[in-house]
Amino acid sequence: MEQFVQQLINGLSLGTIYALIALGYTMVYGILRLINFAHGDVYMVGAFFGYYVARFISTQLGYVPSMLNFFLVLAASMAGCAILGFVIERGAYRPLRRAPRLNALITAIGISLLLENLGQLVFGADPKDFPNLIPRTTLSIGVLTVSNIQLIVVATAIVLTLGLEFIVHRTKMGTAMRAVSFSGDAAGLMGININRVISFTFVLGSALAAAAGILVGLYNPKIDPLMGIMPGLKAFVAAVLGGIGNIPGAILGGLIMGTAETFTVGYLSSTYRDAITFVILVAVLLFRPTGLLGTPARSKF
Amino acid sequence: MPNRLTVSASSTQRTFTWYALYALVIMLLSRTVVGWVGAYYEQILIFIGINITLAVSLNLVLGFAGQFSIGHAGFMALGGYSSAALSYFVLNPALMSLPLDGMLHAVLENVALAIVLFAGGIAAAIAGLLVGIPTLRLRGDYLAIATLGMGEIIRVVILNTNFVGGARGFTDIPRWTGFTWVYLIAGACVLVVRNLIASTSGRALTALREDEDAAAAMGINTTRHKVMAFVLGAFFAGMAGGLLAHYMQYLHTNSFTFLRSIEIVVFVVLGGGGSITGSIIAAAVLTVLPEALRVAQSWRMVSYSLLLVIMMLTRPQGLMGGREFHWSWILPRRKQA
Amino acid sequence: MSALLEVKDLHVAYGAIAALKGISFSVERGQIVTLIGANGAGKTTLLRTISGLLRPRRGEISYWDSDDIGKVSSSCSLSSLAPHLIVRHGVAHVPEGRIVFANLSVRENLQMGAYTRTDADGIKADWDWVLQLFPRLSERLKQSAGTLSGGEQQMLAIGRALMSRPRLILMDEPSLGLSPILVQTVFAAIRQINANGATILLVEQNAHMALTTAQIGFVMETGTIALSGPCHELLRSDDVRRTYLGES
Repeated sequence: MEQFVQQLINGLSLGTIYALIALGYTMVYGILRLINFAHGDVYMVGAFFGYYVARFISTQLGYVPSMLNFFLVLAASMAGCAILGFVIERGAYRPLRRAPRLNALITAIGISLLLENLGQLVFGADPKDFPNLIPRTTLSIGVLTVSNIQLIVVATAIVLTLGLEFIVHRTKMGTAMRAVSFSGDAAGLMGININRVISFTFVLGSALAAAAGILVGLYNPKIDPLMGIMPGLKAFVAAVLGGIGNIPGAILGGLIMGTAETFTVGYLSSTYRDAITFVILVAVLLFRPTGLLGTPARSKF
Repeated sequence: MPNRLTVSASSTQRTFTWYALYALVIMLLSRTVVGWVGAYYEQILIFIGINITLAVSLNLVLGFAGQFSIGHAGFMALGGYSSAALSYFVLNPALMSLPLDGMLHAVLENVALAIVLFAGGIAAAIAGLLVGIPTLRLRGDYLAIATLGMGEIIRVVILNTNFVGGARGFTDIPRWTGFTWVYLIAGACVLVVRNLIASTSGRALTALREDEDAAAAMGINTTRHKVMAFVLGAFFAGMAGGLLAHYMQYLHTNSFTFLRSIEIVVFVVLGGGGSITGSIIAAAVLTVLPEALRVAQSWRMVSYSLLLVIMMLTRPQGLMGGREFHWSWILPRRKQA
Repeated sequence: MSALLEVKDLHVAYGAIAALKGISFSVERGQIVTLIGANGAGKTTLLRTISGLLRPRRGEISYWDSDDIGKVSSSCSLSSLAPHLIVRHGVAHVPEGRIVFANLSVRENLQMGAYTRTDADGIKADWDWVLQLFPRLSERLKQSAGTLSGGEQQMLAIGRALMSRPRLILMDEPSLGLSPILVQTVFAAIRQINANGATILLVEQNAHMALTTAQIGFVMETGTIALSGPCHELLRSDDVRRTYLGES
């Protein structure tokens, strides 16, 4: 029983990271019907931005209190990836707005490969140690242990999700996002500049991916240019599981994926760590293609 | 009616004549040019042949039937591993135990290869059937990710199957194949796909690519045709896997990740979906390109991915844009000159 | 009276299929103008082209933005502008099949209608006027628009268009799929909107309703305008009576 609860805690904290990445997938799919394969790599770039900003702070500014340091790194990395997301959409996806969906998907794959290969060139192929922004301490509650890192990861994810919830449901731009995801044509007739809404969506999703990159750096401090592939796929499966295009669904899906992964490793074998992802994916697609919270798709391919 | 039968008989005859001629040329080439260019270029030629088989067989599913499958590497892996298991555990020991002289041994080796390649193809085709029936009712993006997931599941299952090497990889597979066999299979694949496309079933496939609902309303059994294309595509992918296994003598699941599947999709899309010649050219060019870019060292893969994106942005319909190469493209020019 | 919208020799095609083959007409300020015709005559295509959702092959859409400025010629104005910019010129489009944002609340739908505006007082005034015009909507502000009945959705679609305070409203089949009583309600609202100053270009299959509501009518047939004139004359024309009013 203790082991079960402990695995659950670990799974949920891993799941919040998947959830943050899944949000970007689901928002972009909701608006463009595009699986943005490069999204996992934006998360990787976010981790590296964090790495370099943290190094810059420690060499140029000297000692900075650890929480402030963490917030600076987080903010800088989110801003950097927001710009990256904007540039990717503007340069690679916008010209293909009216092209067949297959082409947009291949382009997304191309951007993904480009980021991975550029990453290996610029950052180096070897794994790097993410700086220890916050010294790890563990809290024991009975037989359970929770690290301060896990608490920070979960708290940050909750704050960011609430922030996203506020933007999507309480601001004019957020309402426009939902309008565009329902019907681009009708949104245009309201005077909504669809391209601007799409850019905004990429900015938002990429910033969240960057946050996930920083959080994973705290959690599991080895980062490398190919680190985005598997979490990217898992987050994507999380988005599908929750119902792609559905924001609460992405969060739920992320938490389920994280938990499923830790339980698989804990009770079965770590070689099935990634397989469980695809088993869930195929099961969802076969039995409930619209996901747990999704509504049936309106348009066919 | 009799008229029609003779036409089809003569076209079958013509097909066989062409294939025999092609086989002859391939064997001649393998005796002369290939021996002369050296092992490095021979290997590139072999990879081109395998990639052509993969690209053309996926084009049947993706380009002609319009079913977005990105799990081709899974079928390739399954075919490769099953054929390798058959040769490693059964046929090769049997062959070795027979006291045979060189000539007979060589003949039997080729027979054994034919058997294991076919078996690998069949294994992949069965998997294609099992995967295809449930997933092909999904459409578009959902089908794409379902096939991606299936491909990865196949890979992970092989990774955890210890008697074929598991995470260590499958080693000491007999080297039974080379240039000739690779191109015989590639040629057969092209021929089968080409003839299928020209048949009634082929028209049904293109109809359901254009509009699945309309095709179904016309009385086309869309599921059956989609599954058929998928199974045939998987069959040739399995053969390609078998060829790779018996050339490299080594298999590892890392060669069959979804990136490999995507690479094959890229061949088809860049060549132009629905164009067999496009697939052939793209498979050849994109196999050579990373080798040619070797001089650029670390920029090699960066430029490869950049080229892919630029190509999509500037020529989204692919190289051939769904058309086929025809001799009339070059012959009139010769006359003018 | 002066023209608000003038369409000249408009050609629109879907691929190789021509949908509009040289349409010319004009809409005078303050009028209700109706376009009637059978399915496939090109009525919806025409509206979608005016609001920028479709690009014309050829032709000119001139629109007089304000009272004093001269003609803004089409090739550089309406026919090459994106839909969201055309809205800013005061053209609102109530699309066919009353496409309301089903995932948004009624309140949010109306807010989206005023997306381009920043004048809080004006928005408030229009808000009150829309809810006065369609009191049913004020009871349902928090409800998601997808849960409304067909008639309520049509009211919302019209109300949403009004929130941009348009000079010209393009309405595509507002009576489609509504009960006779609701058709009366919607047409009463259309008259009221017109009385309030907006010019209306009304596409309808319900030819009788349309011709008794509008002042000027155009009859479209396979991408061209076959007949035009004041509605009271069209109502008397034998052709119209036979083909569109179902009289023998």
